[in-house]
Amino acid sequence: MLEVTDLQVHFTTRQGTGRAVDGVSFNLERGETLGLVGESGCGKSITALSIIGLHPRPASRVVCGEIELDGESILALSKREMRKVRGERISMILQDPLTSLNPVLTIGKQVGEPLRLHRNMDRSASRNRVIELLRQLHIPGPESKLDDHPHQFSGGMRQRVVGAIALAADPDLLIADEPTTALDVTLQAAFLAHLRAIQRARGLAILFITHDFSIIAKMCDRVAVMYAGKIVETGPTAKLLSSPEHPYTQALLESVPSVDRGRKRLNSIGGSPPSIYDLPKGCTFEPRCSYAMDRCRESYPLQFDIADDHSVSCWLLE
Amino acid sequence: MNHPDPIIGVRELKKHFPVGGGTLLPRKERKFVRAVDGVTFNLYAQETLSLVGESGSGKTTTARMILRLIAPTSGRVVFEGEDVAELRGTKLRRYRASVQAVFQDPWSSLNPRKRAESIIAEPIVINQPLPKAELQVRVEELLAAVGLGPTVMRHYPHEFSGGMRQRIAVARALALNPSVIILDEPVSALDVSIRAQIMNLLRDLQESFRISYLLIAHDLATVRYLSDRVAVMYLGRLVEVAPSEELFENPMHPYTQALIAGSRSTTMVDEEAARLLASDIPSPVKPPSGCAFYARCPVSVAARSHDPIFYKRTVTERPELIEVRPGHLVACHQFDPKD
Repeated sequence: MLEVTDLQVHFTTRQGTGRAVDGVSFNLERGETLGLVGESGCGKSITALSIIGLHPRPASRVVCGEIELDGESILALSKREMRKVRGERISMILQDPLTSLNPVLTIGKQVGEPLRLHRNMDRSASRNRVIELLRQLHIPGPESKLDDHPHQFSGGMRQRVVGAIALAADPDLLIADEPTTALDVTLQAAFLAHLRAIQRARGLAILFITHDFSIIAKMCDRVAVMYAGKIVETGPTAKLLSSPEHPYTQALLESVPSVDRGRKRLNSIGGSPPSIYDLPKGCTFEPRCSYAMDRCRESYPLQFDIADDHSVSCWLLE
Repeated sequence: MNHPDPIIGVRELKKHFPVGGGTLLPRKERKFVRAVDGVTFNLYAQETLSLVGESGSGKTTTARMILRLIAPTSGRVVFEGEDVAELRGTKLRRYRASVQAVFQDPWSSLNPRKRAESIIAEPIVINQPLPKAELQVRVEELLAAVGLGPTVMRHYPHEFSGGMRQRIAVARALALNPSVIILDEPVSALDVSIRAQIMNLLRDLQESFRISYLLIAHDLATVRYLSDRVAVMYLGRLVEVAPSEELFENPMHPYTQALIAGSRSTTMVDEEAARLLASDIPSPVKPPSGCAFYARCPVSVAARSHDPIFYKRTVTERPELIEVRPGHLVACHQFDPKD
């Protein structure tokens, strides 16, 4: 349904040209969830924003690549057409529910906006639909909440309202950028369960950006691991988490604590990711990689398919 | 575990903040948020005790009372047999030196106008003045202890990454050889790859400096990695206290079970449980008279139809924190021997 091919997004600043997204390709089917993981600054969010045409401009631009939605390119669309895509087919949930709602508009107005603008509903039809949406996301007493403002809601409820807005116009694709980071564990579990149920009912495709592997394990069918603007490994979730092949994926998995792993000592990854303004000539992970070889310094590794749906960009697998 | 004397004892600690008209209103109409509502626990030598719970459960307020940054409404914090609120002069200074803190956000906890060396030296200059040359050596030692070289001394906080700043905050906390460090969400503002470094550092320092940590965190993976014992808070009260392994393998309170299930990668919360969990935390201004968790508790909700007597108890009677196994305390009617 969504097909991204060789996407490159560059930033042009006083420091020169920064390759924030440097040749990313992936696809996403209806009803499927793809997880995008990596450290901060590896290009996850810029990839997501460029899909809906909201990457910061004029600082950054898509210099090459293709994004297709149901076989149709959406990169060349006019502003007006793109707005229609954003309203009707792709929507996005951002990390922080406290800043993604408008504090001076009522909840009813904000959730109803996509319905009125993109589904041509009148006041009473949209009102009924908003109540139904809020109920689906388990907001208690939705009829009485329509005229409330965001500050009257708790964090967990606000994030559910943000979810209701994103799902209002019944999109085909939802991009969720760390949607639960600001929530407490219990609310996080609840929000993910709601999202999962709605996904099943509607065949929604989800692109899930997170750095939390426990969420990946629960939510995603497939995972793509990003490092310095490139996808270094992609595969089915269970396989990638249990037998990661790329040294970066391995290192990342060994550096995060988890409730299931107890007190076993963590291995942190030494050094830091390279600057996007000054990427190494060869493999971008080479300076931090414990398996680095001469070859890695010379050229960026090809992508090797080690199984159906599992591919890795590392010379070790040649 | 066999612990003789606690370093810090917290006894029936309460903090009620006035809300609305607060103390201007006639006594009867005053309203209070019961941020901390009767908390008792011990912190022993060289252990890490974690306080976990949702935002608003009173974790940070408890820590601030221990640090004597705010005064409790009632109850006591006991240090070496003395009530911390009564400490004056030299004794108070000694307490402040013994109990240090590292806060969540290293962007706001370091003075942007001071160099790393004066940030780390400040507690020493104030409490145990040293000649300049010795001070210099001491700062270098502290930097080395947190894995930083002497070259960073002349730099300002804005020149450092988040991980380095947090190392400097830790070095400052170590400056006076404290016996306790309160860690308030020490890694949650850091990037994933840096977290492991800081968590390993904290574990190593605990061993070499023989410090006790009181860790406040909402991320259970961090808690499990660092803790010896865990205390779970809900709405200003403790609902479960147990050794870390025991708590994660055998959580007894339904709230703890929900927290752990939510953090595990293998368990997906089902729709019904999710709906219950998502119902909001009751107001700490008017907490329920029974168990504070009953409205979100699957056990209580299930009992509503087939065990009305039990259900009524959860709604009307506040469960006591009872030791159900050695070292494992739970406040839940399911485990109350009065049944």
